[in-house]
Amino acid sequence: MSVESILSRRSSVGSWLKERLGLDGLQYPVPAHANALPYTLGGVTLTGFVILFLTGIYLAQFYHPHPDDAHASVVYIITGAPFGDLVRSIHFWTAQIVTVTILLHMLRVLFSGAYKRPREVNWYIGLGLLAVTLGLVFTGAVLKFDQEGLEALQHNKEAAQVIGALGGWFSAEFSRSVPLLTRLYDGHVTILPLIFGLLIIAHAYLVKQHGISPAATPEAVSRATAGEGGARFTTHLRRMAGYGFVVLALALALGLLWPAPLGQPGVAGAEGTKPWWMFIWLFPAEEAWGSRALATVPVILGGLLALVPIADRSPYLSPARRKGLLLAAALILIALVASGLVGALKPVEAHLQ
Amino acid sequence: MSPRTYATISLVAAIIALIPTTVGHAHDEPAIVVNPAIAAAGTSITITGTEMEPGEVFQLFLESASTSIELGEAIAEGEAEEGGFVMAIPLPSDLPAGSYTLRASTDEGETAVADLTVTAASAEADPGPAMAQEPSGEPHLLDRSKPAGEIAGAASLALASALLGVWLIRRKDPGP
Repeated sequence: MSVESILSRRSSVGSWLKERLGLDGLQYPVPAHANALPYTLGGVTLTGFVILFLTGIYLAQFYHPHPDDAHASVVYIITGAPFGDLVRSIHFWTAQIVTVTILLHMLRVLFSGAYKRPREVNWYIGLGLLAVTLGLVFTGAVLKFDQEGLEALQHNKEAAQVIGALGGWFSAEFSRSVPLLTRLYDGHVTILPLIFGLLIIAHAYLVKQHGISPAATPEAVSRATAGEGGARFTTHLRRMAGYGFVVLALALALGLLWPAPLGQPGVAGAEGTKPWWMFIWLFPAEEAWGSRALATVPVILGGLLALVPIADRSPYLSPARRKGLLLAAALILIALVASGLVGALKPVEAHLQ
Repeated sequence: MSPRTYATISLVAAIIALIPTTVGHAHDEPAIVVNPAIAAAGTSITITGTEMEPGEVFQLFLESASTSIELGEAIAEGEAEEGGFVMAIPLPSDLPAGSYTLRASTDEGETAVADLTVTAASAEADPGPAMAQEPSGEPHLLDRSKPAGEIAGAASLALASALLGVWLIRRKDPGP
């Protein structure tokens, strides 16, 4: 087959797809700065979620979400399922990477003022996506049902008691026929992904509606930029996909070098482990204020993040014009990192009532 | 905010707050709840019975596929149809880990059941990595080694993915 005929066939396939799928609609212009890595982090996170969904579907074929069998089924995934240990490790490491990229994405939005009018609602949707991501990480940690997972579950049940009736979903009374672990699995594979899907559709829709926020230059003000720019949206998508492949490569390499951990079967009431890095900053607060802190501190932090678009209503995007807010955010971030370091370095102590 | 909006928000909040209560009272038959639903052998569990007639005597059994242990009896207290009991019971310290059904039944044939998962005793908790047992019963760390073909395939996939990713990121496009 000649080169000309191959190119001609590719062109006709491309035309066929463009006509049927309306792909020309993605050719709208975007600002050139939108293709820099900091402005692509949301897309990188999304491609990471694609990896998580695919590997998660594979793992679900072998995982048994019942307290009696959960741990043994994870052992089977590691030792018996074809490529099970590798796929589980890719799932584990991609979850770590995605948590990092979603936090960096949020910090970029905070730093560049991309939460300002008319993008306030998208900031709140982003907060929802962060909460759902942490929910997915938490439920995923519990599902393996080793000592770490069981302790996480017991801490969560105590935190749920603090919020009263709204925490009832985490109680045995909620469903007498389905164990809590099974319901958390349902949450991990159906409820949270569904909420994630709806939120991400809304997130992407609003990005399209308002355009990507202007670069935070000294005089830049927040405004809708839909239809403006010197680059194509397909370029933006291509770079997101590129970073997605890099994420897959990184998760594969990490999974080969350091397979996803699994502890011994959980023993109820015992406390000998610490939470993952994304939750360990709560450890000192729990020590100081008890289980109440597990519910109240995240709510306070979420409330502060929700206040950002309300507290900072000036139109300017430059960080130099928003020193007060950014200083407060930096202080809170430093406190969280310091709290995490204290939690990581302190010996394990019993907290459960 | 209009009174109508206030009323709608209040109604939604009330419904959300009542969800667990509604579920808990949806049974006309006697019901029991075990707390915690996952407990270590040798620790204490609390059994709460509801929807019972005051004065009814319930025999409590802990059952699995291979065993049935009588835990004692509980007498429902209360008024009218609102009877129930709360009883703390220590689990035997040598109870094997596994899934159990807690059954409360009367001589008249009324029965309520709840699931209980029993883990090993607290003293056996170990934050270390998962172990597997050899046929001799000797524990050993899980074998996480992979066949050379799998490692080579995964490393090749990682390399190909990285190269494709870098190519997609660096490829130049014409303007809009």
